Amino acid sequence: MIGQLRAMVEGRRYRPSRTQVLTSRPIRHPKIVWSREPAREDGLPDLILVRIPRRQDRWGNFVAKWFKLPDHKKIELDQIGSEVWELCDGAHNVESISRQISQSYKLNKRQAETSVTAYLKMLADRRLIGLQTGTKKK
Amino acid sequence: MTAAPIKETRRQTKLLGWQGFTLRVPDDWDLTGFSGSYDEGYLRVDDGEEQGLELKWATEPKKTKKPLDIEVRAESYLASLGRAAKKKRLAFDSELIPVPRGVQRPGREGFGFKWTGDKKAFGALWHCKETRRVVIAQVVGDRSGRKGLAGVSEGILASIENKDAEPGWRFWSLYDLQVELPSRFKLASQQLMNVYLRLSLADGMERVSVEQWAVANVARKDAYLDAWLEQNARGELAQVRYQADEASVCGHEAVAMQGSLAFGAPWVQAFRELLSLRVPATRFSARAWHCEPSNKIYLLQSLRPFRASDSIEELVSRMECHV
Repeated sequence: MIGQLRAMVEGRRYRPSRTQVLTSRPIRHPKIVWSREPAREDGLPDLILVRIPRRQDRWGNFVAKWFKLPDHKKIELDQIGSEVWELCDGAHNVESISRQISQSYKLNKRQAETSVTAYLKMLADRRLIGLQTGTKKK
Repeated sequence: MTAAPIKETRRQTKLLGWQGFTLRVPDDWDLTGFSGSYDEGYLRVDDGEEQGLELKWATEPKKTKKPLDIEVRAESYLASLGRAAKKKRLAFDSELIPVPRGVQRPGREGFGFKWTGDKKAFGALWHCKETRRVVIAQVVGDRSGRKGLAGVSEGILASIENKDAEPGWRFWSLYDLQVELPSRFKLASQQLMNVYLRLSLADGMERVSVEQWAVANVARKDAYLDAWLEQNARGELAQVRYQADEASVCGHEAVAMQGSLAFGAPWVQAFRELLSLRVPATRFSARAWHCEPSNKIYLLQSLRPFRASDSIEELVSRMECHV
């Protein structure tokens, strides 16, 4: 928090340390609905379909009505993405997620860490997940 | 009464190889930086947190006016670190010590050193008479020296070899990719991506490249290996026409490819090489296989002049795709 404030005052971008990133716990946006969809072909794994609801305020409804927008935007995650998404439950930290990915796909620890953090950053940039830091609340 | 179980205190280590150096580092350390060539370069291997090994080397020219004074080199290296610390207004303390026993080898002459500034390091600087290489190796860690920095550095420094273990063959490693290639080949290019690694080496017109794709089960799904490679492989495979046959490597499903340069731009390039009185590399052979235990796809390619012998089988036999 102090680091973030200092970065804001000094006008530079806040960069969390590696330890801070690895100990943070990703958690899915509560308004996002998701489900595991059965595979389209035999032998392929089930993938996760994420449904992002559109804005439900007056302006959102107005635009949706005129442009015939659907109520949800759908995103289908790939096999590894689905596994990471399921682990974004606020209980697993980034380190444990990358360890799990490294074990299930026989990836080098460092390679798994880089892939998982890049993917989580992409999800966070799209506001599909948030990152919890500090001690876990009971 | 039964004897108490013996505690396993030794950390697991792994072998790394780069530009003619081989060394053993703790299992969770990985290559994080490198530059230069066989003659002069830099290598960094670390644990991603606080401890890491830095290796710098330079090859002395065959004929020099002044004989090399290794003590002067060591002192000037520590002095340069001291000046850098002074610029940052940091307290700096360094000491030149006799070369640690583990680092001593026949034909090696040098010194050990340790310094404390914003970090703490234990290292050695030596000159190898056989390879004419001057090497600076240091293991850097936290200023307090925690996590057994002294012990870790002792083990790593003692494991560093600055020449090929087997004459004529050089060991290269990058994350999980480990390969032995003839030492006449020099590193021409490399690509490090999250799930894709490529090392490309050249000796004159002759070229060898090794590619590795991780997460093979997801990337390939149930596509045929040769069809998948056609779409995903880079390097030589894009410049050749070849015939693919089924084969086996270490018991894995594999594809053996034989061919020659494709029409068009590759032949124009070969013709240019011919005009500069060099025999162009026109013969192509490769092996690709899917190693299920390590969940990786490997592709080993060689492009050689018409009369050169095909060494692809030997290269494949020297590659370790899984433990």
